[in-house]
Amino acid sequence: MQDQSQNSGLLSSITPFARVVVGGLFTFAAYVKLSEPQNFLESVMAFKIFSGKPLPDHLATLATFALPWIELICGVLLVLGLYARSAAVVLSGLLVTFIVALVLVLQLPGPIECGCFGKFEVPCGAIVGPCHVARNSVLLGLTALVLFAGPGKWSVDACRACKKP
Amino acid sequence: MSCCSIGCCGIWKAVVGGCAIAFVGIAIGSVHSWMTPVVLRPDVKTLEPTILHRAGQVGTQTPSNPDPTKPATPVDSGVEPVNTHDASKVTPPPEPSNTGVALGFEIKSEQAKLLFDMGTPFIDAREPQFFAQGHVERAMNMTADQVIPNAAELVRYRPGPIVVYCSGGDCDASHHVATRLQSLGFTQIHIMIDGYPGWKDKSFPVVEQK
Repeated sequence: MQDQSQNSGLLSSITPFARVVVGGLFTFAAYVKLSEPQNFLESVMAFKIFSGKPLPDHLATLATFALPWIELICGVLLVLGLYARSAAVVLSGLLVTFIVALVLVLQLPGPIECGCFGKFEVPCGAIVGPCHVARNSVLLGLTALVLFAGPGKWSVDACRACKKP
Repeated sequence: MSCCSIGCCGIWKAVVGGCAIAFVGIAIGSVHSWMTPVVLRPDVKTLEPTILHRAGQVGTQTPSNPDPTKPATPVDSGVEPVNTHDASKVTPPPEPSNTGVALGFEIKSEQAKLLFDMGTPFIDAREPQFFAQGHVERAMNMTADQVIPNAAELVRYRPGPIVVYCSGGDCDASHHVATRLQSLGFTQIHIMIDGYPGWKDKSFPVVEQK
């Protein structure tokens, strides 16, 4: 019983770190994409994962703007710890999609730019490679931690739970 | 048996909340896309062909956009322009020496070589590491996001033809650069569709890392 409470105490200490790292990264990625939508559109069009064809024009344009906005909203919510599990669900879905897309892109000939963080591709380079898949897998692990363990300490969700009679 | 009674209540609520967040994001993104114009690809209809007076040397490329209503812009290296009416009729085999050849938007490396010989600027749209490994002689390295910041340098080549290339095949980088060049007012943009590999295979002038 004591081990269990120690584990949950440890988790509630780790999850704020996971929230801030993942939320901060997604907020930054969204800012980069929204500040240069033309660059991101070109990255979206380069992902020819549907039988060697890119997304249809209208979907590519929608993805160019909707994806960063979803990332921004989820990133901010995750950092604040407000509706953190809902934000984690969305980001988990996005990360799974990104990982599948990256794996498919790796099968294509020629170098393809990721466009994930615009000009600031850290720690991986601009060209899609296994590093990008690994990075997203680590982020998926952190997001899953928030999803299943909750937002942890220092979150708005925790404050709201405390104030409930 | 409700979802909450088997312990998945929290996850279920999170999924419902996640759908709401995604919906809000898509709605804001849709409005944003409506307010902010982006260009999917170069508008080929507004581009002009480059007319070459080099009969007998051009391959079988049919101009992709020979627009007889638009005047040809003179090229800058002693190649005499001819009227576009004649140019629009160009079909293989090469025309007699007193007619011109119209180069469309997408050209092959043999045709790009003619422009190269005239001193036409070349832009290598690949990432710097690939440029460093080898590139067309005299080519500038410029990815799409570097075009607008380097506008002051580029506009001195305008008017006149400009050739952009990347790795050939499925590579889109040259088209992205072309889109930006078009926004700078370039009207004679040519994409070397077989890219650097095609150029190198034909033993045209290159600079390679030793």
